[in-house]
Amino acid sequence: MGSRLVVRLLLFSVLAFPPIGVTAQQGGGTSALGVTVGKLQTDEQKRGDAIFHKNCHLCHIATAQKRELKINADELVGLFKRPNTSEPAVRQLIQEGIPKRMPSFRYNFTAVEVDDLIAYLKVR
Amino acid sequence: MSRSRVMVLVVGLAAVALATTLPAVSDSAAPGIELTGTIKGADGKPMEGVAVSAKAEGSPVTTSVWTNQNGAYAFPALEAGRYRVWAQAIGFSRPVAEAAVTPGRGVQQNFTLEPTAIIPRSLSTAEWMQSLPAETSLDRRMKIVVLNNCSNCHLPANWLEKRFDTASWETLLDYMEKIAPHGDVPENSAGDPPGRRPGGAEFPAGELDANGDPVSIHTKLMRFYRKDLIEYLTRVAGPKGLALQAKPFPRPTGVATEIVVTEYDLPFERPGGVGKLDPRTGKVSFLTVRDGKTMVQEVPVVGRNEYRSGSDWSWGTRDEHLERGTHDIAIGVNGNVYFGMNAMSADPARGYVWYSNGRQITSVDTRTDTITSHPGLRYPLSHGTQVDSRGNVWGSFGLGFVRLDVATGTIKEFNTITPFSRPYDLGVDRFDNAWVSQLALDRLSVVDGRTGEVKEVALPPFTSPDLRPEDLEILRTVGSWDHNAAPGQQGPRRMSADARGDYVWAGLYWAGGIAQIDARTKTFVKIHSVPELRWAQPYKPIADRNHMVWFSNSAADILGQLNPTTGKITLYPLPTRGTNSRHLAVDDTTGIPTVWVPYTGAGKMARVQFRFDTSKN
Repeated sequence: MGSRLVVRLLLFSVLAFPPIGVTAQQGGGTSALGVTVGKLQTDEQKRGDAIFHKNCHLCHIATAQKRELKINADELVGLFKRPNTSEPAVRQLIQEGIPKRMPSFRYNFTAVEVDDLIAYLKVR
Repeated sequence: MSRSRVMVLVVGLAAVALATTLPAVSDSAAPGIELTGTIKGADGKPMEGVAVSAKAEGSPVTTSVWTNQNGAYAFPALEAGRYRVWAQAIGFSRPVAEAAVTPGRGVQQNFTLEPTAIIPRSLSTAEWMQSLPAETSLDRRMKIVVLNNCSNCHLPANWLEKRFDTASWETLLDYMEKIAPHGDVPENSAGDPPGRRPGGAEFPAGELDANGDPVSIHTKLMRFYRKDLIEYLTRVAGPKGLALQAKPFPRPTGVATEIVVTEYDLPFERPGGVGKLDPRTGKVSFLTVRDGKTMVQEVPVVGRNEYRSGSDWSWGTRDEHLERGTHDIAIGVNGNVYFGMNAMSADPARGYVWYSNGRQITSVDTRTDTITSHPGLRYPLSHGTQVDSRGNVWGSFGLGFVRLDVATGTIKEFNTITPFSRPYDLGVDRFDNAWVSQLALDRLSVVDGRTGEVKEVALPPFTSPDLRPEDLEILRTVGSWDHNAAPGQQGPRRMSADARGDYVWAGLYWAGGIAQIDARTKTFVKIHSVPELRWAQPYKPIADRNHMVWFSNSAADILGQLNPTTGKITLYPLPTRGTNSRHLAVDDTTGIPTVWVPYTGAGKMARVQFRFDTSKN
């Protein structure tokens, strides 16, 4: 038995037992809540990820209960890949909200924090 | 080379690879020589009670120590590696350094902390609550209303940092009313009983909740306080800014600094089943049952987004539902920490860890890592299990208690005297009496271990001069459940009984304190508290082998110690913001008992070791 078999077995041992946690919070896979996000590479994206999951998750991350009650909003996955999404409009929506549907965040975020959030949304 | 020898080589290579990526973790808290230093303020004076943390590159383990009165700190023995080291105290800069550690060789890492304005979101919830306006009776009342209605699903420090105008707060409260849990006790003990108040009396017919179901306790409280809350929140967290005079807890001093906290990162992605952490390596496995056999699968712990870790307090308190820490834990006789299941408890005498699993009571034999399930529950358990001296397993559920005779598989139910009382946690005392906390009633229910007689022990009512007649009326006519409570509720939530002593202990979630009940006489003794606990939402209390009572606090990043003889309460700092700890485990096998604190608000669990004899504190 030669070294090729050893390599094959090593490959098998890796592929047969994929490292489940490889995506974790660094993005690039399926999160615990079933949302696929892009890989977080920049500090801006990581800060945006932290901001999103502290301010936007209530409506924009679905759960079974929210689906049952029909109160889950758009999960914003691939938002900036959609043909009609414009960055100024997204920024305006964050600032102004939607009456009776989405709160206005105009008093919450600094300009840098909005930039971070946009950077994250672009890879979500 | 034979096939079997190749397999041995493959497994060996994998083991070596893992061993090199996961350093061993010291089990001694004694000061080592590898990493020491001094912390001074900008004025050159030494600073006591500053948290200093170190994490090796690629490691899932963060070790933290605190400076003494001379500003000096010393880590325990550390493995070789390149460490990131940072010092942290509220109101000061957070310097970060890198240090290459070599065992047996000393590295001195000194820091100077510059004073800064206090960043509000660096405060824990308890600190935030005590920083809110309290000049008027209305302000003081509204703090109670906020804690009792808006803290269980999301710690106030997580959302009070946000600022909204009136219209936006209205939108948010509308949403809260829709998502308020409503259930069908005892099928789901977490949901409140539709159309009924605690004790079972029916609300007047006709009122429906936002989803068209008969109105429940949670919704009625939200509706009653809605107008007051919107006015208050717009005032303290609205367009004009945060109404806040930051009042962080004092930095720890004396023995409260003589601890070592080792935090273990947990995997974000998990295959399900029972988690198992090996504290010596930081490795995590999950135990599942397939085809009747227990399978153990190791799961890599991959680094998380540091901005969501809680290690930098300026990033504030996270939402507990998104960070994947762990709620319950229990220690096996093999020294491993089992986590991730509901109603976990340890039976060290027999080597088992028990938990609830749907309509089954399930065990892990921690000598062999074998899972065994005992079916037959009519309803799922609530939050507690515990084994009595004869090996029977007790559990709490929506109607009261269940007792499993493990040998025969027989399950017997004991109902609380008062129905719809939200039986929560459970403990068994040394007389084999089983106790359940009745969160909605401010009582504890007890089943006599010899006679099976059920009794209820009432706690004194919570009183405050700031409560108005309408608050007391809503307490009387609507009452409380687990997510919302009328002002005037103590909130005995998690509890346990001293297996070697005479007392039963319960954390008072709404009022802030630890209740003491005499197991011999089945009578209330007293409530222990200190000002820092008022808004800390004390949670799970557990007595160690010396009868010292250790308790977690869901709304404050502190571990508490109550000396039942002297009544002294000592608060030990935890180095992560937003821990939201809701359980606890005590390892009585170490020279000085070790306390384990699971975090639900951050993806970690913590081992707290002491550098002094805690039995004399």
